[in-house]
Amino acid sequence: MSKTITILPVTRIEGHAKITIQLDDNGDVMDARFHVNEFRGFEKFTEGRLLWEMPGITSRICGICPASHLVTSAKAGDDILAVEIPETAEKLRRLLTLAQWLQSHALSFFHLSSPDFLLGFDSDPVKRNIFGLIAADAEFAKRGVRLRKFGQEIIEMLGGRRIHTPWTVPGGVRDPLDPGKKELMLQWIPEAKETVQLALDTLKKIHVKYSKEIPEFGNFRTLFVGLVSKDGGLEYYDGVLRIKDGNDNTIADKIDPKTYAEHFGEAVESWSYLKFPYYKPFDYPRGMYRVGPLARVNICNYIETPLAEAERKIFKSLNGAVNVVNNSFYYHYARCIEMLFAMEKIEMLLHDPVLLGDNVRSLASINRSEGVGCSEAPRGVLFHHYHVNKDGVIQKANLIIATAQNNIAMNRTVRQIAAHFIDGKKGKITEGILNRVEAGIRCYDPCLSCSTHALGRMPLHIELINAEGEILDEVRR
Amino acid sequence: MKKVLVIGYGNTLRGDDAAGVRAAELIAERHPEIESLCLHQLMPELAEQIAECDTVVFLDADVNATQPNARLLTTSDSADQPRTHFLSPKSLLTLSQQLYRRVPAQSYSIGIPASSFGFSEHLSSRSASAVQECLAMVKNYLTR
Repeated sequence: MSKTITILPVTRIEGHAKITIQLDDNGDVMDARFHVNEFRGFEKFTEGRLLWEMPGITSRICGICPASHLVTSAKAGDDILAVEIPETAEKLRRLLTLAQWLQSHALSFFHLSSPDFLLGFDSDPVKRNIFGLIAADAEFAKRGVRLRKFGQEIIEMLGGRRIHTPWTVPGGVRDPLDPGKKELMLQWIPEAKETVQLALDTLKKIHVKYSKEIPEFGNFRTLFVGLVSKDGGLEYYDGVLRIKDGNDNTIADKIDPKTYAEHFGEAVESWSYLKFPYYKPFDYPRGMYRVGPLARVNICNYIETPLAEAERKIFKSLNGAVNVVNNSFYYHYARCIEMLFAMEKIEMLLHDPVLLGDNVRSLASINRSEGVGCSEAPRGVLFHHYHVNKDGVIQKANLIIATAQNNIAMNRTVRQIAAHFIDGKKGKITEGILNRVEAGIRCYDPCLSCSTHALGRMPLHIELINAEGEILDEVRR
Repeated sequence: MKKVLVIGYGNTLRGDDAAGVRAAELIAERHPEIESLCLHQLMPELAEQIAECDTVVFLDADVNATQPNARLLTTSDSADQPRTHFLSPKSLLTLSQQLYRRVPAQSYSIGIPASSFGFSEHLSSRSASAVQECLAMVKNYLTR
């Protein structure tokens, strides 16, 4: 009789989830699933609210990437107002987006994933966390905290608050940048650059240390989707959508993000609250695609800053002549390259005199009944789509978050790792193996959103399922 | 003068989950001399700020509480497994100790009764009244 192994909850990812690994009668892995248990209903909640409130409301979906929702929501508002925002406002929003990437990527690399790499997948699970990391290398851990703090401080200095700041608004931003704050931001640059370089150097050693295991960490071909600039460069705020496949073929290019619904569908499975977006022309689930750092660095032709561009070239050579990296383990590498880019670009922006301009908002009334905003959140491309009435009251909202877009690939990753590392015949599942499965998920740095942390401690549900799909046992605790 | 930090955290779109935030907002209004933070969740970089304080008070919604309850916090090598995206007060204190070798002389966590977590920007009447009781508790701790 088959049996199911459940890992619940998945630790060190944002939100709440469980993994089930189903073994067949022979003890081989038959299937593995990454379930998301928490239900969010922000789209319905926003109906009846004013367009101008939307950045502030949607940023409260998440405590980790609020700035991405702020920017994307404001962009949907720009579309509805039918305005072009002032150049200074666009550059300030770009600065905010880069600060968001930096703090989020720093958290992912230094705090969530480094304990696995530096302490080892088979190390004592009680110590394989940030405290264990501090015990092993306090300076490394402290630098990670400070890098994240740098990103958070930029967000705070721009918006006045660390999270959920309603500073970005339809038409631009509320306030110009104070020159004194710009100088404070610049003071951080040397230390932050050094820390990002430390992350990259450390990661390269990790690649050598785990060279035998890495090939099994979500190594398969998918489509890659993300924004690129109009001439194909790495993009984070604007641009057009590009879709490439796992052989580096361009499947579609220069797609206006406003037409996203023509290209992407959302499938639903009964066992997860997280939807399963797919590329419509390839149908579900063949239209599986990945977004986020791995996709962005794979699909772009170049990165505009020199150090990041040099690393991109090394990244692209990882898979020999194929010129595309299909292994999800290298999300970490792509994330570090993006941290390097964010650092360089932040410095460039801070030296740009346009950043201190005082024309930061275009004022207009409701000029369209529908608008789409799109930007690159740390975890991938994010869409906000609003319908409003003539007074700007939201009639309907659709948000497509990055983590959902990686959902099919995350499930495939779990199955691949489970199949490689778990031998059901031995009947023994070590903590190290379970953690490798979880680590596969952490490559994507999923953000399932702890929309309410008190509810996050809600009772958990475990099911034991046989090969026929019958529930053998059910536990709630 | 003692350096005091009050941290209220929770999701202000999810009803009573915002109880800690609402309490921290009121403290900021009534006691401008106290540094009061309103956050979605606790994050690692707070460790540095906490390490520089004499007293820290965490305010949070508590689904199991029937009345506001305060706990004295201490650091521990066996602090709950940090999930890092949402550190617990104890994990955060431990982080302050381990990274900066200092923690406040007094650290408290106050749980505020919470029962309604639907999409709302308002507290239930029970939670709203508990916030007021919580303010008196905070004042009491700060005068010690």
